[in-house]
Amino acid sequence: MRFAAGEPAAMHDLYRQHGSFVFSLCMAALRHRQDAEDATQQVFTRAWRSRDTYDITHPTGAWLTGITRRVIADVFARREKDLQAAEAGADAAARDGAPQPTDAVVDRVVVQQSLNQLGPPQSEIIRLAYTEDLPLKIIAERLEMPLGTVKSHVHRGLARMRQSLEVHSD
Amino acid sequence: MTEQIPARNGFGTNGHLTDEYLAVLADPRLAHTESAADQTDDQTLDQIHPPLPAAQREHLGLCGPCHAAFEATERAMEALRDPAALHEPPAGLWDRIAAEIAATPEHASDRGASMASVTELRPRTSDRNSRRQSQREPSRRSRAWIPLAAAAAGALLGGAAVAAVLGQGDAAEVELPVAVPTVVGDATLEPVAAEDFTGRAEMVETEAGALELTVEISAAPDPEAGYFEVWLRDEDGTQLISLGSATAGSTTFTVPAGIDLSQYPVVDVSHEHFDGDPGHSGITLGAGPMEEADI
Ligand SMILES: [Zn+2]
Repeated sequence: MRFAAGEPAAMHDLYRQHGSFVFSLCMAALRHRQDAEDATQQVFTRAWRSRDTYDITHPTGAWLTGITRRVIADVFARREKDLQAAEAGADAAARDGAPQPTDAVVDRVVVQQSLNQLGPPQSEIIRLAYTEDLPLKIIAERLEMPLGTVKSHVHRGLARMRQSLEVHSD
Repeated sequence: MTEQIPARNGFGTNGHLTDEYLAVLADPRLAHTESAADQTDDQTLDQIHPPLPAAQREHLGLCGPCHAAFEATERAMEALRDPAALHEPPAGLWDRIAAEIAATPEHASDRGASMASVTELRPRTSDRNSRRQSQREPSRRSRAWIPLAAAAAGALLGGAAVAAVLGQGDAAEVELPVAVPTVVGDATLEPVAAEDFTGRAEMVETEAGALELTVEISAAPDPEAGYFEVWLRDEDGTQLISLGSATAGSTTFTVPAGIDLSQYPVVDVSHEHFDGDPGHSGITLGAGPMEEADI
């Protein structure tokens, strides 16, 4: 990897390739645009500073996801600290629910990215089957496909999703 | 449909469960049925899904990769209920990153792509001297340490707050251990579960070539409340090596010979109880990534 050798241009390539994923992950986890922008900036500067920890035997996306998880954890820790400071001596303010575990957020972004990569009709079928939770028979009718074909698109699509999740879970 | 392998077989040529079979396990609606059954509605199909053949069930229980694949398939289905929207980062963001990178002092030329190891942690000399000679050069700077920004990763070990709250202070206020033979790395231990915690760790290589970690911490818990234990671990806390218990002030540990420090880049101080459990309590008071020494 060129970026491991310290080329800023290679870092730009990395950003072009994974910037949207990292930013989307920060948006989904932090639910705050400015925080997500700051966190994304931190992810890539940390990646730059720690590029010699990059293990060329592993996918770059997984390495960046790991860094992103840690940056997100830092933001949550800072928010928690701020919250504690704000609450000192006062009644605990109503919190807007515990944040979703970052693992689940990573999964939600990864599957969306995989859906985009699958393309139609597989992505559409997967969406109808799981996001819309439609019976497979209805999907088959709607798309005018044999039920067996729908099933086969679903299981192949699920396999791709699963493989993407496995890449980002280390 | 020529592309379909019958699901009831379930095993691929590699001896593992097929993708199709894993999908069927996670979602019985996908069971490959006889064409007559295709006319049945899905609710009925769910109910008539045949029980798992023993061979496949047993394989799923025993085979790590297949079990992991099955779990990942279930996670995919769960995540698909609410996929997260993808966003393009704002136009100016790369410029901000590039500016920050450009402002980062670097010595990139002698960094490599490989993971650091104990060997690489040895101070390097400017020429090609033998290692023995390089060890005797006390003031060369090791550049191969892994600067992982993982201080907060300690929180992953467990969020329980600790009564022993030690004060967050400036690391500079903590007295540094005297740098005896060669400092190869140091870490500032940021508070994790205890706000009041301050600590520093410094790794030195002795003239004999052993690695010693000196940890300075701000306070120790009351005896009834337990004790401090110092660990080297990975960022997620899945791999840990205990170095031993620490007292307030300075404690020096010998790092086991032969460990690959790139696998254990974080220094972690935990709060342990006298419960006979040798594992990490899950309560990290403070932790910090080892960074190359700046001497
Ligand atoms: Zn298997």
